[in-house]
Amino acid sequence: MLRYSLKRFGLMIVTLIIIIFIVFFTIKLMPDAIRVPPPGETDEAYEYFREREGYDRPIVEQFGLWVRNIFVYGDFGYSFYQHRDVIKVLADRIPVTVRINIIPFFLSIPLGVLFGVIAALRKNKMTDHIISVGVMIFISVPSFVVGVLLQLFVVYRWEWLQDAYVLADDLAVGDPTRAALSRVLPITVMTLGAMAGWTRSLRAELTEILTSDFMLLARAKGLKKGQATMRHAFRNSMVPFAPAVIGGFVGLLSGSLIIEATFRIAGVGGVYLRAFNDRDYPLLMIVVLFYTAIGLFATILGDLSYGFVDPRIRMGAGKR
Amino acid sequence: MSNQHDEKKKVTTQDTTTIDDSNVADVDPSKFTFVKRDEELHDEALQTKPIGYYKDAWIRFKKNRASVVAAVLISILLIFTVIGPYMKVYRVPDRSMTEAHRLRELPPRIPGLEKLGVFDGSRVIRRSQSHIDKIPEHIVKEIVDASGTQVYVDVYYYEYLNYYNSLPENSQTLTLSQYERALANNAVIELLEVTADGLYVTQVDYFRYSMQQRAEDTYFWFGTDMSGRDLFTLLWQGARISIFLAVSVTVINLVVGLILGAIAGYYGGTFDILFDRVVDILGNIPFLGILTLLVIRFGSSIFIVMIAFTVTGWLGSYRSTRAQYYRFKHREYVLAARSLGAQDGRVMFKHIFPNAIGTLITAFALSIPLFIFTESTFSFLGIINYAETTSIGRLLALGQQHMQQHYHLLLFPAIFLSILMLSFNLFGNGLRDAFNPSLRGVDE
Repeated sequence: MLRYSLKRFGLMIVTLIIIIFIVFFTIKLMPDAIRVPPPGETDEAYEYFREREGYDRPIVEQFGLWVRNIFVYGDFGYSFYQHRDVIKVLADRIPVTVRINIIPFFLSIPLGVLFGVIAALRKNKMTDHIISVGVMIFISVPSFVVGVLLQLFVVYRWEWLQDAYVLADDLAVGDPTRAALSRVLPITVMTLGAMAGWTRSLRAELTEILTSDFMLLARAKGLKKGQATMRHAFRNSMVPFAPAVIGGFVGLLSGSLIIEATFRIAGVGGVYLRAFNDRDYPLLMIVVLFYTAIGLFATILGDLSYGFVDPRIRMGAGKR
Repeated sequence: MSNQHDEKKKVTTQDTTTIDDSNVADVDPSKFTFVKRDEELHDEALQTKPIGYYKDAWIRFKKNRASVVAAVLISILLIFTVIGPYMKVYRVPDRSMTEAHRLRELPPRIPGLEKLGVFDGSRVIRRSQSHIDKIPEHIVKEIVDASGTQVYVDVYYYEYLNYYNSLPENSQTLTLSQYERALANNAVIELLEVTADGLYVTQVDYFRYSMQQRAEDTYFWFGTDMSGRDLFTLLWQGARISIFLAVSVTVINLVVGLILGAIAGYYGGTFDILFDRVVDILGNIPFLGILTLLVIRFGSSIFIVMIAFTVTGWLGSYRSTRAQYYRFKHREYVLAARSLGAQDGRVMFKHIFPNAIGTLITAFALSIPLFIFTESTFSFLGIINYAETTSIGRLLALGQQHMQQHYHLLLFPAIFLSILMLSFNLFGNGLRDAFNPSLRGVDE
C-alpha cells in the first residue's frame, strides 16, 4: 500500500512537472509575454526582474531560472500589475475561498446523505419523486443561473436580503451581521448544488445495495429494516461516497470560479479573472498551476482512499 | 451430470423401440394411410413482430414520460433556434444606433398575456411630481407611491418612452400648407394642437419613425436590451451558436475518441502505452488553462473555442471506447469472425463497434448539456466572448449587471438556459436507460 501510494505520488509529480513545463512554454510563446512595465513600475525594478527571470534568454533557460528562483528566493514570478510576488497574491486569497466554501461543504454532506437515504428507502414513491425532481433541477441548471435568479428575486424583487453581492472584508468591519447575511446567497447556491450531487450518487448506490443478496440475508436473520439499512447497506454505500468527499475536501482550496464571479467574492477565482483581464502572465501561470496541482492531488487522494475505506479493494497490480 | 442424463435417454429410447417393434409387427401395413401427403409442410408464421435493438430501445424510451416531454421540448427549441432570429423582422439596430437607442430597455410585452396584466410593457419609474403631471393620462397604469418628493408611477413604458423621446421641446410649429405637405409626404408626425392663429404644433412620433408602427401596436416579446436590440432575437441567436457548437464539438470529440480508442484498445502494445501517458498528462491540464491560453493568443472566435473544447474533450470517449475494445477483443465471436477470415478493420467496425453504439449514443446525448453548461459558464465569466455573435452566457452577464432596473434582461436568458439544460439532461438520461437498461438509475 505504502509502496503503491509512493509510486502514485511520484507519477503525480512527474505529470505535474510536464504540465508546468507545457503551460510555461505556451505562456512564453505569447507575443506580448514580455512587455514594457506598466505605469507605476520603475525601470530599475523592471531591469532587476528582467535580469532575475531572464526575459532575454531562450525559453528553456527561462524555465530553469524560474525553477531556480522558486528554491533560491521562494518566488514563483513577479506580477507587474499587483507589484508583488504572485505566490503572495495567491496566498492572500486562498483563505477567502476556503472560508466561503467550507460551510456549504459541511452543510451539503449530511443533508445530501439524509435525502439520498430517504429517496432510496422510499424508491418510486412520492417522496422519492419529489427529491429526484429537486436533484434533477439543481444538477441540470448551472449554479450561476440559480445564483443570479436568487439575486434577482430574493434581493431585488422581494427585498428579503439587502446585498446581492458578498461584502468585502474592509467594508464589513462595522457591520458583521450584514456581512454574514451577504454570504447567505452564495452559501445557499453552493449547498444546493453540492447536495444534489451527493443525494444523486448516494441514492443510486444505496438502491443497488438494498436489492442485493446480503440485504435479504440480513432481513432473513431477523434484523429490522432500519437496522439492516444502517448496519449493512449504508456502510457499503459509503465506499464510493467517501473518496468523493475526500476529493471534494481538497477541492475546497480552489473553490468555484463561477460562484466567486457571480457573487463578487475576492477569492482565487477573482485573482484568475484579474490575471486574465490584465494579461498578467506570471499570475496566470501560478493560478493554472495551482488548479492543476489541486486537481491532481484530489484525484490521487480520492483513489487511494478507496483502499482505506474498503479493505477488499487492493491497490496496484503487483504481487501481494 | 450430463453422462447420467445421456444414459437415461438411451434407456428410454431402447424401451420404446422394443415396444414399437412388437406392436408394428402385428399390424397390417395396408391399414396405414399417409397424413397430409399432398400438403406442403412449413412452420407457422410468427404472430409477433421481431423487435430489434433500436426498436427495443425505442419502446423503453417511450415509457419514460419525462424524457419524451424533454425530447418534444428539445425539438421545439431546435425549431426556434432555426426560425427564431427571423420571426421578428426588426432591423433598426442595423440601420442606426441612435434610432435603436430610442427603443432601449423596453420591458417585455406579450400579446394575450398583456390583458392579464403580466408582461404588458409596463414599468415603475421614479420621477418628480411636475413631470408626472405632464404625462398623458392613458400612459399611466397606476401610481405606486406618491408620498415623497419623487413619485413612483407604473407606466406603459412603450408609450412613455415615445412620449419622453418626443417631448414638446422637439415639437415644431408648422403652417397649414406645411402640415399638409408633411402629411402628403407620409411624414411620421403627430399633431399636438392647433393654435388660435392657425398654426399646427406637431412632433415626431419616434416609434412610427423607427418601426413604422405605433407604440401601442409594438410588441417586443422579451423586451429590448441596453442598446435597443430585441432580446427575443438575441436569445435565439445565442442559442443557435451554443447548440451549433455543442453538436459539432461533441461529434468531433466522439469521432476522434472513437478512432483513437479503437486503435489503442484493439491493438494495444506500444501505441497503447504511449497514448496512456499522453492521455494521463492531457487529462490533468485544467480546461480553464487551455481555454484561457488559446483565447489570449488567438482571440475568442467560434473556431478557437471549438478547438479549445476538442483539445482534451475527446479523452472521455477515448477512454470508454478503449475499454470497450479491450474487453471485447478476446470474445468468442471475434475469434469466430477471425477464423472466417475477417480483417482487423472488419472485426473492429462490423463486430465490436455495434456493441459500443448504445454507450456512444448516450455519451453523445449527455455531453451536449455538459458542453452548454461549460460554454455558458465561461462566456458568463467573459473568457469566451465571441467577436461574431452573442451567447447565452454573455446575455446572462449583461442581465446580471442590469437586474436591478431591468429584470427581464436576466429573467428570460436564465429561464431559457434552465429549460435547455433540464431537457437535454432528461433526454440523455432517458436515452441511457433505453439503451443500457442495466444501468438504469445508476446516476439518475
